[in-house]
Amino acid sequence: MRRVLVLLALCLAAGAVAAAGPRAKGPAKPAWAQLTAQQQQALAPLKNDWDNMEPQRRQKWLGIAKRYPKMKPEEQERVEKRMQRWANLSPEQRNLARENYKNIARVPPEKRASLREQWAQYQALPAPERARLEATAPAPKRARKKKTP
Amino acid sequence: MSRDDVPNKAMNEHQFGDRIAHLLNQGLRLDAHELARLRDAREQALERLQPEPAGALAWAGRLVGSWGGWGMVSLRLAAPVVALGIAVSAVYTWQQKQRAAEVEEIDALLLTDDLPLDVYLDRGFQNWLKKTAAEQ
Repeated sequence: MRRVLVLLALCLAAGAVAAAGPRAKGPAKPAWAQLTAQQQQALAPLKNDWDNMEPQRRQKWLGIAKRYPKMKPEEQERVEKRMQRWANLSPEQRNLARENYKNIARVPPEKRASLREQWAQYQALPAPERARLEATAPAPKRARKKKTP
Repeated sequence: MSRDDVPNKAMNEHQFGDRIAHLLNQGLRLDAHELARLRDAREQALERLQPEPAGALAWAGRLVGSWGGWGMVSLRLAAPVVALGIAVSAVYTWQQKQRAAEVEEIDALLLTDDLPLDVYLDRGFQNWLKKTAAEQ
């Protein structure tokens, strides 16, 4: 019986090590100084935060640095401007933005095109109105429909 | 049959017991000599009987016995458990990679999008969009 238990424990430990392995080892942690000149140039806004960043996030940014040379000049400019702000958001905020992006990217292209217009309309709303909207928890669609005629 | 061949012996004892039960059901007349022999046999069997391990231990013991002893345990038990462990870690690693690739893709799109980040960050705007969509 004891041998069975020892065997089970060993197998589970091996499984855990195998699962944790790819994260613990490998090229998951390049320090800023280890990056290539191209990577450093693409990720320049992150220079100060880089060495405190989690390995998975570094890998993600390295992936974005790889895409950087293929981007259009205006896209490169946007990435440079947004990178630091994006990196300094909380994980919850980033996840919220990703979810919203996925929802908006799913709508038909003509609706997507009107989004810029809607954003301008929303910006034109008085500040208290926008604050009120921000404070409202998103209600289920059916309940909302009943309230608004 | 060798004496230490435990599973076969156990089976024969069962068959033997069944035969005795069968004979007893038919109605058995035993004289004093046969009764004495039966009693002796029973006492001998009880003497040889090891104290039965309780609960899970007994179950594990029978299981190990049915697998062909401890020698086979490592193969029959460890192989599926190791395979399961490898499969679970492979699925986990694959999921992590998929998730990382998806996050990288969306982040690249968000960072290069022609609309400002606030379009996707502003809760008020998201609520307003839902509200106006519901009003239409």
